[in-house]
Order: sequence, then structure tokens, then C-alpha cells
Amino acid sequence: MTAMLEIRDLHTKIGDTAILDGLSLTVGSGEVHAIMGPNGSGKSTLAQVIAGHESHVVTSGTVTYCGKNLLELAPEERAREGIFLGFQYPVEIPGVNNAYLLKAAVNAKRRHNGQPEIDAFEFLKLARARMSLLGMDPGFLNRGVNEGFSGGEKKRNEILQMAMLEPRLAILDETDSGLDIDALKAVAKGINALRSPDRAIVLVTHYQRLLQYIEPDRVHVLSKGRILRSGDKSLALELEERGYDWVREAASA
Amino acid sequence: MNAPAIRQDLLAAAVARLPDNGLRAQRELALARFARQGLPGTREEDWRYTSLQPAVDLSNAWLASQPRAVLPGDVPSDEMPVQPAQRAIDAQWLRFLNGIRIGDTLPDPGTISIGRQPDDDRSLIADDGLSSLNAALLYDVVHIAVPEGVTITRPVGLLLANDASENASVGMTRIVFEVGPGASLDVVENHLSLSAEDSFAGVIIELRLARGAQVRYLRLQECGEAQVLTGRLQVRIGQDASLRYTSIDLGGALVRNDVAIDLVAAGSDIIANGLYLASGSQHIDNHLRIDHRVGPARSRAAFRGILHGRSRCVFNSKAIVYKGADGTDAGQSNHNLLLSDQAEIDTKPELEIHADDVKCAHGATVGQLDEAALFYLRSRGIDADAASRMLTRAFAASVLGDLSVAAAADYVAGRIDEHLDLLVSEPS
Ligand SMILES: Nc1ncnc2c1ncn2[C@@H]1O[C@H](COP(=O)(O)OP(=O)(O)OP(=O)(O)O)[C@@H](O)[C@H]1O
Ligand SMILES: [Mg+2]
Repeated sequence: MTAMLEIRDLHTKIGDTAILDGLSLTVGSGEVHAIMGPNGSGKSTLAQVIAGHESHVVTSGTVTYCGKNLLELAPEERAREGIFLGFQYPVEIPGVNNAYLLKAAVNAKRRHNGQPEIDAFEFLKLARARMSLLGMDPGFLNRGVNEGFSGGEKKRNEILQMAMLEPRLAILDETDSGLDIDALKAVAKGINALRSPDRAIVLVTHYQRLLQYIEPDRVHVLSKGRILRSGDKSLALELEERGYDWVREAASA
Repeated sequence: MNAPAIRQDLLAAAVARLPDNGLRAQRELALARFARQGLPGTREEDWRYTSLQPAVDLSNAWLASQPRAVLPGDVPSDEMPVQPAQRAIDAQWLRFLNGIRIGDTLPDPGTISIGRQPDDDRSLIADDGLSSLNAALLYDVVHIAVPEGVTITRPVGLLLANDASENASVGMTRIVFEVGPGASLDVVENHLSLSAEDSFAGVIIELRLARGAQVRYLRLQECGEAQVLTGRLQVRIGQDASLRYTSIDLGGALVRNDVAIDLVAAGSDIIANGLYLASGSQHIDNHLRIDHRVGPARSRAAFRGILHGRSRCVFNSKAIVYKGADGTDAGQSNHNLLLSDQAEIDTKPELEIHADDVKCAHGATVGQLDEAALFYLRSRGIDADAASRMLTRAFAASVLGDLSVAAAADYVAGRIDEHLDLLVSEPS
């Protein structure tokens, strides 16, 4: 089986600052991976590089997605090919209607796959169904994208977009941060609903809590731009208890 | 640089060629005043960024050709093709070609009266050169009155067209609205060019709102690429009267729009918003002036601009709060989106306050498309061009959301969309 995502010895910089420093990671189809690590270690950078953010310059290394060289694709092409990034800080876009963006995103992907555009009725039905799964008020459809949303509402909105787009590879950057207990359960439900043998999910998180609801196949510790340690779900528990210092010490020993 | 000069001898000759339809004395007076005033030059603070040289050159060339005065009989009413705004906006349209009214009758003549300006009305005599030039070359003043207490449900549309194809490259228009106490009126002012030749149009519109009158006014400027347009809207607002004004600039080569609002009694309420879209080498200048003579009263001015290419725009709004005008609430804002690094905006919202008890705020911003928002949209599968368009539209959306004349909303939204598509696809 070929890996869904294969990152080899990735080095990146932003401006003159090197961030990712020889990162390698393989995510197979059907798998859920968790990436943990101290603040500033490069987790969001990794997520953004995969999504195609142009401020991050790849200086060496490769990223292969479903056998394709991902680094050659524009962000929108990556999205249409099935990559979804749930932002750590979702952007507020006043004046762009939430439903309008959702529909445009769904249709961009459909066109890419040679499917007809979704009709208005079908779209609304689908959006309402997904929103009810996430415990979101349908009123959010008519607001500006993330405009004036609370922190938790923004995260739910990310998951709504994911649920509508049904990506093959979802990278969720701290989607669990800032969520109340009910919201965390709702978001976990949304993520679990997406799990399937032909999809993969990468969860960037600081807390073991989310992983109680979504059991990861692999857990990685990212520090200073590279993966220091990988293990199964018990690694997350160990990190919660012991912090990151022992990982760093073990790695430098 | 000297103020641009129109040749007075040629101007006098053109004035003499106009028929004596009761306005001759006023024209002569305006001509004499113009000799002293001339057109404003860029040394004047209000004209620092806008040179009227193209208007002067066009006027001089036109005057030198000794044009015959264009008279109402010269414009057969069936010759002018129906214009897009006429088709799209359900209004009682009055058509003007180069300042001359084509003899349309209003479907609702019982309520609105249209006639000539009463001869004792001295408002033609103004203290600025553009107004004097307008008065000197004017064939006639159209006077539109809405009687006390009457609500006009169908907007009055002013189709202000210019056709320079037969050497009629300069045209002056003057219209006066008299809105009676408690009356209510919607107006759509639509500027357009029927020919591709260079031309200069000067338009002055007066709006007098009696006590409790309510006017919703839309200026929609869709001139051609070779049109020079100077426009002035002069408003006098009576007690408890309200004005909703929206200005949309989409076309024109050199456009100056002056809006002067005089609040002479308490309780009035004004919202003026606007949007200017400019590309290529367009020059669009919006100047607002609001005189708060008495309080309490409220005024809001909020304009937005989207600039591309090498276009240049100017925004200036000044609210003056007079001594004793307590309870004044004045706010002004101007936000600009620059899509090209060659485009230029000069913006200055100003407040001059001489009263004590006032609430005033002003602010201006100039920026580019938000990179983080662009990436966010692209990460959802929206291509870069479409994402730019979405963000540009979003920027314009707040003006559309507050459009003064509801009946024109669909048409205006469509026209703005078309222009934004052109703008965004143009290389920067
Ligand atoms: N534009 C930039 N210029 C310079 N340094 C940057 C820039 N953007 C990010 N960095 C740096 O890159 C490093 C990695 O940032 P990143 O956002 O990937 O961290 P993170 O692991 O997601 O942290 P957190 O857990 O706090 O979200 C940080 O040290 C950050 O300061
Ligand atoms: Mg982060």
C-alpha cells in the first residue's frame, strides 16, 4: 500500500528563518496521526506547508501525496485534490457569506472531479445536516465567514467546512483548543464521522483530551522543526504526565 | 502653475449665441463673474490633487469651433436609445442630452411638477467658477417640485447623457429639486456617455428639503473613458428632514463630485455613502462638505474606493460644526483598497468643531487585499483570481448593503460586479 502522505527530510524557511529542519513523516491511508510538541516547534508550519502557504519556502526535501509531488501544486489545487487544513486561527472575512464560500468550495472540488455543481436545495440540505451533527445553529450560514464568531464557533466552522468537503487528508491544527466540553465532543464526532479506510487525519494538538475521543494510530513529537519521537497512543499519555523535556533529553543522548 | 484658463472672448461669444429664453441676464451676470473667478487651480486647497486642465482644453477647442447652441428642438425624443439603467430600474425617467431636457412627460404629472426655474430664483449666482461657467452656458434650469405631504413611490430618474459626436463636446446641466414639507422622494441620477469622443459635462443639482422631507438619492456615474465630468450636489436640509445619499463612480476619465450639505435647522439626519472603482488612468475625486449650523443633527459620510492600474482617486470630506450647534453627531470614514502599487489615493476626512457638546469621529485606511484571507480561500479550493474577486466584492459590499435607493439595488450590484471582474482581471 502506498502512503497517502510521505514527507522526506523537509527543510523550510520563512524569510531568513529556518523552521522545519529535516522533518520526515509517513501517513498511511485510513490512519489517524497526532502531532504534539512545544509552542513554536513548527507544527503549524508543517500544516501550512502541506496546504501550500507561499510564505514558507521549501529549501530541500520532498512531500508526496497519493503518489504526486505535492509541492508543485497551488493551494487551491491541493484542496481540490482532497487536502483540507483546519486552521489554528481561522480567518475572519467580513462581507463573504459563509454559505457562499461553502458552496463555492464544494463546487470547485466537484468541477475538479468532473461532477456537476451542487444545486441550491441539495446544498442547503447537506449543510443543515452537517450543522446539526456539529450542534451548529443554521444561522451561521448567513453570516460573514467567521465574522464575529467566538473562538469555539470558528473551530466548529472549520469542521463544518471539512464535513462538507469530505477531504482525503485532513490536517487539523489545534482544532480542539478553545472548545468547551460539549463542543469538543461535537467536533470529535465530526472528525470520527470522516474516518474511513481511504482517508487520513492528522491532528495537531497540545492535549491528550481530544485523543480520548479520536484514537490515534501514531503519535509524534515535533521539536525544533523535526520529529523527535514517535509512538502509539500511549506516548500522548506519557507526554501529558512528563512533559517534553525527557523526549528532548532522550533524543540528544 | 497658473490656474487653467478658458478664453473669455470665446465664452462671451458662445453665451451671446444662446437664445434669450428669460435667462440672458443671469447668463451675462455669470459670465462677468466667471471673468473674475476663472476655474479653480491646483493651488487651491480643495483642488490640490485635481487639475481641470482637460476641461479647459476641451472647452477652448469647442468654443473656438464657434458651436451653434444646442436647443431642445435639436434632440428628437425618439432618437436616443433606451439605456440599461432605464430598462433595469423602475423609475419615472427624465432624459437629458448634453444638458437639454428631452420632452418626456411624467406618468404621474398630478403630484410632481416640472417646469422652468422661477425667474426670481437667484441660486444661479454662485461664488465658484465652475458654477458660473455652468450658469453662463446653460440653456435652461429644470425645476422639479414635490408638494407638501406627498410620497412619490416610483423614483424619479435623471438620465444625464452626453453625446459629443457632432462637436457638442461641452454640455451644462442644472436641475433643482424642491421637496415640500413632509414629502418623500427617491432620485436616481445616472451619468453616461453616448459617444467615445472627448467631452466635458458640468452638472449642478440643487436639492431643497423642507421640514420633515425625506429624500433617498443615488448618483450612479457610468461615463465613458473619454468623459470629463464635474458635478455638484448642493443640498439644503430643513428641520427634521433626512437624506440618504449614495454615490457610485464606475466610469469617466476625470471626474469630480462635490457634495455640499447645509444643515440649517435642528433634527436633520444625513447618511452619505459611496463607492468609487477606478482603473487605467482614471481620476476620480469626491469632495463632501457638511455644514452643521444647528444641533442636534446627525451626519455620516462613509466612502470606499477600489483602485487599480495607474488610477488616482481623491477623497475629502469636511464636516464643520458651528458655534452653538450642540448635539451634533458627525462621523466620517474612508477606506481604500489598492490593487496595484501604481494606483494612488489622497484621502482626508476632516472635522472642524466650534461647538462644545458634540460627538464626532473620523478615520481613513488604505490597504491591499488581506493575504491571510486570500490563502484561507485558496485553501478551500477557490482559485487565486476568484478569491481576489470575492475579497474585492466583500470590500464593496458594505456600500451596497446601505444603498440609498432600494429600487436600484439589483442593477447597481450587477454593474459593480461587472466592473470588479474587469478590474481584478486587469494586470496590476
Ligand atoms: N513570519 C515569520 N517570521 C519569522 N518566524 C516565524 C514566522 N512565522 C512563524 N515563525 C516562527 O516559526 C516557528 C514555528 O512556528 P509555528 O507556528 O509553526 O509553531 P507551532 O508549533 O504551531 O506553535 P504553537 O503550538 O504555539 O501553535 C516559531 O518560532 C515562529 O516564531
Ligand atoms: Mg501552531
